[in-house]
Amino acid sequence: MILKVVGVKDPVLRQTAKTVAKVDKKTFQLVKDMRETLYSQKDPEGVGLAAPQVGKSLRIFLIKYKKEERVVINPEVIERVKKEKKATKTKHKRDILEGCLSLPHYYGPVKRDFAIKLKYLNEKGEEVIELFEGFLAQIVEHEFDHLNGILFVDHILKQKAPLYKFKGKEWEEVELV
Amino acid sequence: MKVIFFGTPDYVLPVLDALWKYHKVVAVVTQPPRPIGRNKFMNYSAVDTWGYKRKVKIVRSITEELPEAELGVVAAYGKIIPEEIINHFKYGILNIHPSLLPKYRGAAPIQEAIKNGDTLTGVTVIKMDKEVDHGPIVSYFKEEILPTDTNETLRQRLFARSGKFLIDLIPNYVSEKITPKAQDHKKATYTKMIKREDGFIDLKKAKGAEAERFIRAMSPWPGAWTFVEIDGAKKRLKILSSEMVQLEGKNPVTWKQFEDAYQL
Repeated sequence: MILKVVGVKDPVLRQTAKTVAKVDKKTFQLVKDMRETLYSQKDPEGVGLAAPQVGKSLRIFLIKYKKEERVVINPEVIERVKKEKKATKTKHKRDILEGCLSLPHYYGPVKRDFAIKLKYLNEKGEEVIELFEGFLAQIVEHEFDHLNGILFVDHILKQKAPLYKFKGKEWEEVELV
Repeated sequence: MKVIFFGTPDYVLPVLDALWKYHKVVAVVTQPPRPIGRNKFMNYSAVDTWGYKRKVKIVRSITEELPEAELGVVAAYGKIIPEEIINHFKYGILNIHPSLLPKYRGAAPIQEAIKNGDTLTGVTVIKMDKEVDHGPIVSYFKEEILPTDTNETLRQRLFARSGKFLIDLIPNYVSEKITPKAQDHKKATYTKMIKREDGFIDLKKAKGAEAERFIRAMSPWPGAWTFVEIDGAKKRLKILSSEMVQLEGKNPVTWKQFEDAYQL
C-alpha cells in the first residue's frame, strides 16, 4: 500500500522516533509499504524514506540509489569521517543539492560528512555493520536525521547556505523563514 | 602588475587569459556556484573553473577580504561593486562594457543594440565609480554589428577583441598618458537585465525585420518564444531562428514544416 508522505510542518517529523522493539510481521508490512511508497515517488523521485515521513515515529529508514537498496532499522552511528582522503582532492568538486520528499521541489547544498559507519538491523532482523561513503553517506545522514527530528533545512540555516526552489525549468533562490 | 579580475561567464575568459599572460592575476572574484538546468548540482562559474585550474585564489563573496593588488578589471561580474572595493586598488577598477557609452548602460547592452537594429557598437573601458556604468571613459573601440549576429556571436567577438585592447591600454592608463574623460551623462540610455519571460514576442504585432532582430537578440538565452493555439490548447512555441521553430515537447522543425503539420 502506498502511504501518504507527510509535509514539512507535520509535528511527527520533529519527534525523536522510537526504537523498534521487535522486527516482526508488523515491521515487515510497514517496510513493504514504505518501499512501495518510495518507488511511487516520481516528481521528484526519492532516494530515501524514513518512517516518520509516512507518519510512523519509528527508527526505520529505506534508501534506494541506483542498484543500492537498504532497509535500516534501529541504526547506531559507529563512526563519522568528515573528509575524503587527499587522493581525489585535485577535482573541482561540485556540491550536490539535497532535497526531501516532505518538502518537494526545494533544494540546498548541505555540507555533510564524507562517510558514516552504522550498526543496524536489516529487514530480516540481522545485525549489520556497514560503511557508507559519498552520495550514499549523504542519503544515510539525511534519513538518520529524520529519526531524530532533524530536517535538511535545519542544516541549511545553520550553514547559512542558500535554498532554491525548482520551478518548472528554473531555479529560484528563496528565503528560509 | 598585480591585478584582480571580476567576472563570471565564459565569454569574458579571453580578457582573463590576456591578463594572465601579461600581468599577475592574484585573484578572481566571481559569482558563487548556482544550480543550472535539471541536474541537482551547484555549478561553478566559468571564471571559477578557470581560477581553479590555474590555482588562482577564487573569491566568491564580495565581503571576503581581497589580496593586495594595484588594479581591478571587471567584465560581466553580475553584481554591483561597492565603493570600498574600488578604493582597494591604487589605480582603481577598469570596467569593460560592451557598448559605446553613454549609450546602453546596464545589464543588456548587446541585446538592446541588436534589437534596435544598430549597425555599429563597441566596447568602452571606463574607470569605475560608485554609479553603474557611469565612470569616465579611458578608451573604446568600435565594432560592426553583422546582419546575422546574435547576442552570442557578437559578445564573443567583442570580448575576444577586448583582451588585447586592454593589455595595450593598461600601461598608458597607469602612466597617466590617458586622462579619463567624463561621459556625456545627458545622452545616457539604460538597459535592463533580461529575464526568461522577456523572450516573449507577439507575432501579430511585431513586423518582419523587427521580429527577426528580436530573435537574434534573445539567442541563445532566453530565446524568443510565443504562444500558438493548437487544437484549442495554448502552447509555447520556441523560435530558434527566423527559419526554425520548436513546439513544446517536440523536435525543432522549419516554419514551413510546422505550418503544414498544423495547418496554420
